[in-house]
Amino acid sequence: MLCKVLYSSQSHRWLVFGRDPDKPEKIVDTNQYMVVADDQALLMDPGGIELFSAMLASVVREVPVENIRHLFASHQDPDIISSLGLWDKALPDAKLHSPWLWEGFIRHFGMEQIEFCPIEDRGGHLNLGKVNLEFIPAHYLHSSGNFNVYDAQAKILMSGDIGAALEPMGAPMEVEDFASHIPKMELFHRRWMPSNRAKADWIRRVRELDIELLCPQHGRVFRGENVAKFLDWFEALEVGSAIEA
Amino acid sequence: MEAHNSNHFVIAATVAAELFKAMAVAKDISLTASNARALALRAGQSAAGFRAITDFIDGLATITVHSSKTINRLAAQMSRTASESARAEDALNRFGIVKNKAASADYIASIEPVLIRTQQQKNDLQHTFDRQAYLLHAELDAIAKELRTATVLSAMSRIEASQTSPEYSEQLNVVASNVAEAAATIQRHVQYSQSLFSNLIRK
Repeated sequence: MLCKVLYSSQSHRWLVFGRDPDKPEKIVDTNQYMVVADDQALLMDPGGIELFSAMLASVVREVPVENIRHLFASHQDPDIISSLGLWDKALPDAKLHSPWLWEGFIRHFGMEQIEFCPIEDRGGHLNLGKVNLEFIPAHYLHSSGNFNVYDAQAKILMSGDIGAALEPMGAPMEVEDFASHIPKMELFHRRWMPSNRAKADWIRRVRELDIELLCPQHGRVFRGENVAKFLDWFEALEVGSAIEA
Repeated sequence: MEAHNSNHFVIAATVAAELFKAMAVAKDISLTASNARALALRAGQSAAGFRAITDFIDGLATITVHSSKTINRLAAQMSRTASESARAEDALNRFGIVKNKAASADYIASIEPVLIRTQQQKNDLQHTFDRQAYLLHAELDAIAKELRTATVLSAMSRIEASQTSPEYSEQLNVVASNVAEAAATIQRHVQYSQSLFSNLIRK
């Protein structure tokens, strides 16, 4: 599995894991993110059961497993967190931060030891060592209980399914040419995202943040001016397309 | 008993389902026994022997229902234990893959305590499963033994029915047949459970 450092400073690092060559063909490709600050790590949207071994193998190249003190699940989907039952065996003392809405649902993946820390609808934050991470509400984009993670110091927004693209294995990790990337995102956003109102509200709030990297859970990372291009494109896009069908 | 596999929780769940069906039949026997008791009362002195037998029929039904409930509970617990064990085994397999994939990783040693802990959990679950299996096996044997008396009861019911006045003997014979039929049905469920169980033990 590919691992790339997205940000590195004296205080902390952001890593992205993805493009697992051993991934079964018919499951959707996912990006997993990890923030490492001193002897603590937060693993974000750790992925599905099928990806678990590759993910853990990649993680122990970076940090001892017991340093993963926190997990974050942006929402309840299986590609986000169906590996929970296995992480539960590996990280009995960890905490899972996830929307309060999904606790009873996520526990179906198996969680006996990890502590569930519900995130209220209005959001919240997590101190990872000296790094402050904010849980930014992104409800109905696409899940009805959904959060992004924002790091003001690194200027990174982990945006979950927002900005996602569906494309063949082996795609680059970053968007190079925004215009040619649009066809890879369009169906996903039009069909998976249900609410134009939620979309507009999220764009308004996110435009107030200083973002250098926008990191979705599928597809490629947006850097620099591509972040603004994405927000403009998304703003103009009509979502909830199944209703029109 | 050797290591579990993922079939164990299916077998345990099937045993629970079989005994649930047996319990439903046993409840029918209980109803048959109260009808028979009313009939025997109406038949008067000539059915005094049959009246005594209805108490045994009722007793058999009570024991079967009670035992079925116990077996059902044990089988459900076993199914859960086997599921948890399968999950622990799955985790162990995946940790094994991690060890191979990341043999040279800087922090690979950090998964050793995870492996040891999960192996211990699996061993504990194995012991729990074995204990539950022993109890369930004993309960199945006990109910099978009880059901053997049902054949005797049925034969005695027929004899007693033949000694009552003709207007009641036919109906009491039907009761005897119902008891025999119900007992045979329960026996089939129990024997099937026993055969499933012996497969499970052989594994």
